[in-house]
Amino acid sequence: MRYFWQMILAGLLFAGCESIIEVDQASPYDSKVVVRGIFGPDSVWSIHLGLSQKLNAAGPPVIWPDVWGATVTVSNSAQTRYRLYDAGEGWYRVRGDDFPVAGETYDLFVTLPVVGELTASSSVPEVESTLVSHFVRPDTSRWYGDERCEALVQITDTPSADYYLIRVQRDGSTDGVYPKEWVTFSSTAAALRQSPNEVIGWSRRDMHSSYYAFGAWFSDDLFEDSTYEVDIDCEGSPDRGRPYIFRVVVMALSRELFEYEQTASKLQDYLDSGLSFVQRPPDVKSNIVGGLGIFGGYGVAVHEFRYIE
Amino acid sequence: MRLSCHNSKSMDLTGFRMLLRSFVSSEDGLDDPGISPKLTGAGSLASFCRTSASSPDLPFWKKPLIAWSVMLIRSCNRGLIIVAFLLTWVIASIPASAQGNTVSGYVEVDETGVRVVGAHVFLEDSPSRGVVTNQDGYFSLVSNSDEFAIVVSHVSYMQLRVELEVVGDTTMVFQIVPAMIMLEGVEVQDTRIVDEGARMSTHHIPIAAVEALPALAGEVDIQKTLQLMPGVQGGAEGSAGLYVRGGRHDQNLILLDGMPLYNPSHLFGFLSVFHTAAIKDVEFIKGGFPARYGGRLSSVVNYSMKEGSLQEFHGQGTIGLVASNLAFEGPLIRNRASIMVAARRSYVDAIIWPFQSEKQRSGFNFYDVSAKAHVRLSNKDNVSLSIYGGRDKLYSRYDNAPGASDYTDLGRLGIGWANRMAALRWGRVLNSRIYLTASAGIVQYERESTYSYEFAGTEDAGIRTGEARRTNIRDYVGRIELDYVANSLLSLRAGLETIRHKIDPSRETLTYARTDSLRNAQSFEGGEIFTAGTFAAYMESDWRLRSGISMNIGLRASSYRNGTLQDLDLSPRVSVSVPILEDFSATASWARMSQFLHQPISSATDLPSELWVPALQGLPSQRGHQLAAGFRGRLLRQGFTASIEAFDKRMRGLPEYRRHGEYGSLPPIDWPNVLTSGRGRAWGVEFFLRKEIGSPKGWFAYTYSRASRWFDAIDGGEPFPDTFDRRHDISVALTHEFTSSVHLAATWILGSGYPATLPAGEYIANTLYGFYNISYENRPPKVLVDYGPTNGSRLPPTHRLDLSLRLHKQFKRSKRTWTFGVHNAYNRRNPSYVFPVLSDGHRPVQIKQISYLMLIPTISYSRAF
Repeated sequence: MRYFWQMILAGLLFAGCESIIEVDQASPYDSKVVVRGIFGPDSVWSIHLGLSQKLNAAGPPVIWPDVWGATVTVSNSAQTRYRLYDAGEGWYRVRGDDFPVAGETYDLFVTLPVVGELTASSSVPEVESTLVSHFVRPDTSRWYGDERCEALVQITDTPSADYYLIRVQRDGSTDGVYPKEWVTFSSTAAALRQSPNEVIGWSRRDMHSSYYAFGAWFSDDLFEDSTYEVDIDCEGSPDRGRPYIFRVVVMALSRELFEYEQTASKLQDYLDSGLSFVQRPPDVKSNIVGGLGIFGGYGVAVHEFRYIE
Repeated sequence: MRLSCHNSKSMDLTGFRMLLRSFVSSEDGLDDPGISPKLTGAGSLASFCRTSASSPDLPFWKKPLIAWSVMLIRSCNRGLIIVAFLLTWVIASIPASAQGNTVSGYVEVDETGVRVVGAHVFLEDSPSRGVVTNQDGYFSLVSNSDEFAIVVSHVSYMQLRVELEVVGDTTMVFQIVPAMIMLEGVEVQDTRIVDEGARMSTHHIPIAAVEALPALAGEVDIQKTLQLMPGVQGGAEGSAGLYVRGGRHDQNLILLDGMPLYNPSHLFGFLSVFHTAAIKDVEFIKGGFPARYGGRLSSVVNYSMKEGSLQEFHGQGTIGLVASNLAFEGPLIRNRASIMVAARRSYVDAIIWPFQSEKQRSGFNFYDVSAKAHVRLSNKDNVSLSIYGGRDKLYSRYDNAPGASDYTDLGRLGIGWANRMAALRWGRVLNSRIYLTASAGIVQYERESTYSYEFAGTEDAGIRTGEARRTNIRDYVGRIELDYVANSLLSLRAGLETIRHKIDPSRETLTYARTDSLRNAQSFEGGEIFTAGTFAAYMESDWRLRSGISMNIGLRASSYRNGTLQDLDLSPRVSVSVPILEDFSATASWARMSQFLHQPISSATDLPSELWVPALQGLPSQRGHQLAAGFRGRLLRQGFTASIEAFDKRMRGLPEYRRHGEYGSLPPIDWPNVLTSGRGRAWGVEFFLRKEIGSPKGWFAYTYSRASRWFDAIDGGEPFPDTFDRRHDISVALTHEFTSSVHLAATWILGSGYPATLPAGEYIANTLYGFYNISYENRPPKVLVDYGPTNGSRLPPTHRLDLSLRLHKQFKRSKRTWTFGVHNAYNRRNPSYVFPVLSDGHRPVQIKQISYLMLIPTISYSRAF
């Protein structure tokens, strides 16, 4: 889109000039502690602490400082505390193999000698979904022999889940192959279409340069306590001679994580779109009190089906 | 009833040819222009006067108005009761008879007979007792003496002075000569003394001055000239936007023959739609608003479309780099009816058309057509029909598989917007002191952006998707207004205005279809149409006290309804001017304004991509009030005028998107959850020095201002600078006539940088998006940016010099003009917009500036006949 806008302006105004500039800041920038804490039942507790840097456009390559020496504690609703140890390079991990538990809510406490305390809270939503039907078959109607697959996923609204993320992944090697794939998420839920702010990327997406994932993000507030069906329709050029595995990943996201992902996605779209001169930028929403980043939980269910030529 | 008639005695010609036409004092004859003798020849003058009849009985027009007032009061509607009260006040204040001699009539241009709007007509011995001609060029002036001199003055015309001796009421037509037409060898000593009464913060822009200044790509633009006035920002570099005294561009009431236009811009805001060949007068008000104007907070730009000549045919055409235009005017019935048509069309698309393939084609074009038919039904009745239509269209068609022969892969993008307006206006002289104006019109604005994709294979397999967003506004406007001159010290104006809005802010249509049997076509359309109404009644009075103090006091009552929202607003307006020295006066004004339509904006530009949303339940209307005070006067006898004004404007109910970055995902419904309201304040000081006489002419304007905003949903309610907050702003405009055929013009602007919301910091983060099947710790980190406070950064300052050279040559029946110009003469890289470029984790985030409108030479050719 940026090129589209530039084409408009450049084409009409004969000439344009791009240059890198320094801008005056109204106030000096203070670095903030950044928490990277996305957690789910499929991985042990692990959190990274770093620092944000003042923007220095003309400066040297960025060195991202890690935060060490912090006291990091995670507690659940039963006040069971997990003390995370400093594993180096900014990572703090739990000793043993404690996994976040679906349906549980966790609080994060980070204490730093100079900065003080950072806090955050999030939950691990439960997810209930079923792969109702699927098929993968050669598409003889197409000139280059694409695959055609369809999957019907049924999601049951649960009290703990706020948002869902549906992904389609294709496993298998892509050495030397750059698949051209299209995945279309369509929904029979009219409410989804009428509330695009509660949805990220529910419409058609292409997979030109990636083979592993796509997403449809949406709020289950819109389901009205009924089951919900996601129709996945995809087509593309498979990696011939190798097992061709589709995975439909259904993730239930906490509200904090959804809003973080949503705003991060909007920021990326904003920066890619060329609209940065016609609107205010999106802020990436953080639930870290006293810092930046995310402490957000997710639940996950994976449905797999395969096709071998 | 008294009958009397005296002729005037003498006339001061002030060194140029003058025509004065008067006509006869016959009740019948006044209605018949055919018997009005036209008197020509310098120094000769005959004046005829007619007698007015005063009756103690109610005039015919009072009865229905009073009956209507009673009906409104009986309706028990609070808003209508206020209207009725105002109406009754006006009617009751109109005395059945008035003292003094009334001189009324028209001011018109010699040779063409076109009526002159905004001319000052005043008594020479008491300049403060003057009036300004209305939209039909009509005036009514009262003198307490029988012998007096009348002066007619307008910035674009030579001043006219007439000595008269009259008793009773006299009707006259003053014909004035354009300032640029002067007899050779005549030394013009301009003695213009214009008392502007209580009006302040108002600029009249002569069209000749607009045409003389440099123009981007040769396209003369009135709004670009308005940007050179103090207190006005232009927005993004090169755009024709108006940001007046800390306001936003949706807060400008832009009227074309009394009808409001919503997005009067071409070329993505770089040109306004107002074609100088079709405009005869521009009035720009940025404070001290008279009560007759309402519905916007920050400014009024009142364009009057030109009427065609009643005497002979004229035309002009211009060929420029971007567009060409043609204008034509002339009598339909000599001295009775005329027509004017002006049209313009760009041809960038036509130029690049041969260089593009059928599958890869992009282009842009715009056109506008202005037309006005004017009929003088009688010397009392003037009827006009104004029509405007214009459209911009951008299209791009691209082929993702240009080499493929057995399938197609096409995408299309399009953006278009259009303005249409039709207005019917009737002006009638009820008697020598009362003028009635009634008008009705339709205004429509629509915008559309579309995207579609189409894939078609060999065996009838394919996919077709489409997305369209549309905005549509249609207004039905009705207005009736009475002007009444009570005596030499008091004149009144009252009116009623109703607007019915039908607004579809954002209609989204999505379509998806496959051409095989696996999927049926799907489509979705969403949006909400609002039908809102505004009803306003206003009353204003111009008082001119014997001490020289002038006052304009008014009240505007507005009633707005949209669904369950009912909003009543009372907006008092006061302007005062007090003479303090011979050539200086102190001025002050206070005005309260209301606005019922929002254009939520996140923009740093004036692109026509924004939406209009009416005030509704949960989204209140905007309110504002502005206090201004200053001094004005003449500095030197050589025609310098100067003014200094300070202003303080407060606003509330300003709309903004609740979440950042909503632009790309506007929902078609639930506006109160998308938009939030906040407050704003702007204050500053403006200095304006202008030279209108002789050569060189021009002005210097300097503004120091601050504009802030408060939104609970943004930055925790902390104040932040408005997007168009500019501390220092300087504009210089100069024109010099080396000879009668060689004119040089230059404009130079300097402004401190606009604020912008840019990244203040950057950090590494993880997201789920796209990385689920990679172990969490190994997911590639992503660089995100920390924007810090809203508008916490400042862009580099803007400055630019534009030059133009106009070479005129007068032929026997036509005049040729070559215009050579250069935009941005020293090639300054001003920021058109800036944006951050994310790093890859090793390189810092960079801020890039795009500068358009670099050094651009222009040439145009025009011919007038």
